[in-house]
Amino acid sequence: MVKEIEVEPITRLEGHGGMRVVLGDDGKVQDVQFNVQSTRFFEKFVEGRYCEQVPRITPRICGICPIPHHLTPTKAVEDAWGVQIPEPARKLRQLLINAKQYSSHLIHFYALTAPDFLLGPFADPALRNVVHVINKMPDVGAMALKMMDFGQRLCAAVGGKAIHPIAAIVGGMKKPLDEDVRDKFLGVIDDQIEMTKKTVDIALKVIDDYWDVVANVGVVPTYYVGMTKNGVHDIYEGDIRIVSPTGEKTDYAPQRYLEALGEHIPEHSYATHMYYKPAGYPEGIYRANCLAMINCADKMATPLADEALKAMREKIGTNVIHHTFAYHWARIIETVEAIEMIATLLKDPDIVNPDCKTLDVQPREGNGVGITEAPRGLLLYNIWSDAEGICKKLNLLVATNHNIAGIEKSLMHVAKQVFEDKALDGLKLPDPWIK
Amino acid sequence: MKPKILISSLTGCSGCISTLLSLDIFPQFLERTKIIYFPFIMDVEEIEECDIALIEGCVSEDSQVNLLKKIRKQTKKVYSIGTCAGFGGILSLSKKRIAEPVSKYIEIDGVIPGCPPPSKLLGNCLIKLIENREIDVDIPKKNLCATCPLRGEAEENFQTKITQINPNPEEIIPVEEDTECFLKRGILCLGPITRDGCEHVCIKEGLPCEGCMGPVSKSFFSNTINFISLIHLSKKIRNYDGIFYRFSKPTFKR
Ligand code: SF4
Ligand code: SF4
Ligand SMILES: [Fe+2]
Repeated sequence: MVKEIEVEPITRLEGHGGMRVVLGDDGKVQDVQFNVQSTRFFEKFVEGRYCEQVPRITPRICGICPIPHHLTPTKAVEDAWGVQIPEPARKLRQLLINAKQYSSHLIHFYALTAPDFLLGPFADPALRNVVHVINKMPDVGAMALKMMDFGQRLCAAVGGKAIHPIAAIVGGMKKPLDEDVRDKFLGVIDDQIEMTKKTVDIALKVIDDYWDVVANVGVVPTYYVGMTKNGVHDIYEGDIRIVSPTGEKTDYAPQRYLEALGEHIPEHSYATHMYYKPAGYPEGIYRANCLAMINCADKMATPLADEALKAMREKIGTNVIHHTFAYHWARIIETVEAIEMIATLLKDPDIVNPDCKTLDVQPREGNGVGITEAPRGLLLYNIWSDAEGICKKLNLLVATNHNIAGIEKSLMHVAKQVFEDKALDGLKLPDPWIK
Repeated sequence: MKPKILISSLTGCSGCISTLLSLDIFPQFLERTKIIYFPFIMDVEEIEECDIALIEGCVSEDSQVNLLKKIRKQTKKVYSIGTCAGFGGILSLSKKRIAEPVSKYIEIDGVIPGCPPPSKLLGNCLIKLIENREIDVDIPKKNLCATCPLRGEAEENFQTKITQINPNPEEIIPVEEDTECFLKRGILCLGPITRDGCEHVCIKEGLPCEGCMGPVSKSFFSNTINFISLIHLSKKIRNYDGIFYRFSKPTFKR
């Protein structure tokens, strides 16, 4: 008899998702599906609106990454209208997106994934959550909350509002950071760097503990999509980079995205599968998000993060890493980079420089592309403007689009490992930290 | 006995829940309550009896109605958190997608508005709720203009023709003492028909209000009509779609 295993809703996921594994009567995995909500009609209803309004509407696509959804359409409109922003604006935006990266990655690590690793996969589901972690490890809990709070506060200070920001305008940023506000953040930055280092220690210990799992479960070769600026890890600007399963790298200017990113509509699922066009479907199925970003980078933008990247590559033994569980590791490396970037930018006098917008903003007909790396993967806005500055069309590629095919591919791999090879039976698991 | 809490998301962006997680009183909230259902961070999938339910997101699917009914049956008090749950929210802009407030399907005990709700407002309300006190934020008393820093003289006589929705870059400046009301500068601001409570975040930053706190009166429709009759909209703006129902459909009544 065909057996279906359904997980709906998937918990600890931003947004809603469902997962389905279909087992044949021979016990073989026939199909896996991963379903998530679509970008909810936003593409359609921004049509006919002023381009300047798009960045005030689209953050509501995702309350976890509203900042990329604010900055990316702004960049796309600037590209369409040929607007150049002043250097202080660029740095303020970098500060803003790194503040988001920091808080979002920490929420992900402490609230969404740590409970699995600290309590172990066989813990009582009623206890396997961040609330229990905070109760049992109050020091770690307090530290986690302090870090997330720092990130959110910085987002609010630079973004006007922490969630659904209002600070970026076509032409730059509305205003610089106030000097005394900047000083407050600078006053605690060393403390934040220390806490980040402690988080790295926790993460590395967890990775060590679960090495058998990291090294053996869900090692799935795929392509990867991310962005770099001249090969260096960058989440605010740069080119799209594709990495092949063997580590070959190809760069595309954002405006050329259609040459690289193809959409395939599979029979079983209503979600499109993205793939790397030159490689074809399904060979070209790729993954996005932090591990993809790490695989794309020749190096990280900051020293501590770069050291961490080298250590990771050394331990795993390759430059392109296919280990699904290494996503958690990659996320930590990105967290380190985020706090180092924040520290550098806060010390930069441009952050308080009022020359942060250009008045030379004229609508013109044409289309523009903006990309950033959102906390869950590459985000791309392609906006068509008419001569009056009305948005005629929006093409939006969000992390979810990029990830579905890759997630299904890794899910298929793991499902086979679990149900066919019974690979989990022999795995070495550590004693849980929290019992 | 600690109150038992249920937190559920319908169709929304998780921004309200993110706000909740990053409240400075969140640790206190954890300590003083027992969270029994919260799929965003917890694995439990059964809905049990509880004291307070907090719902984020609008209703856009049938299955959500069933979920809501189940929650209502098991819960003493149900609150809509955020403008999606409270009034339909941003998806009201969609002509294809259903976006209804929770109150359309079940009786609720209140709305904590905002997109997302301002941290202070949400924090204060949550403390009141766990102390079993009433919250009254959902009974709007004032519009945003009542306490607006740009208010100047009287707000009634708007003679200036409204020709803009977006201020030009040079006009986007943080509020100073002599900054004039947007409506007097010919820029549309929804302050007059938006409820108080956000501390004028956008206005202070130099942007007009878009109405994310939700309608000021129970009859949003007549309120809007009233407002439109008081101001002079240029033809271009009159023809521009989706200004007034950006965060709730114009027919909304509660
Ligand atoms: S009210 Fe706003 S913040 Fe809350 S879920 Fe809806 S869109 Fe997100
Ligand atoms: S000013 Fe208006 S749009 Fe801005 S936060 Fe307040 S209610 Fe929302
Ligand atoms: Fe997101």
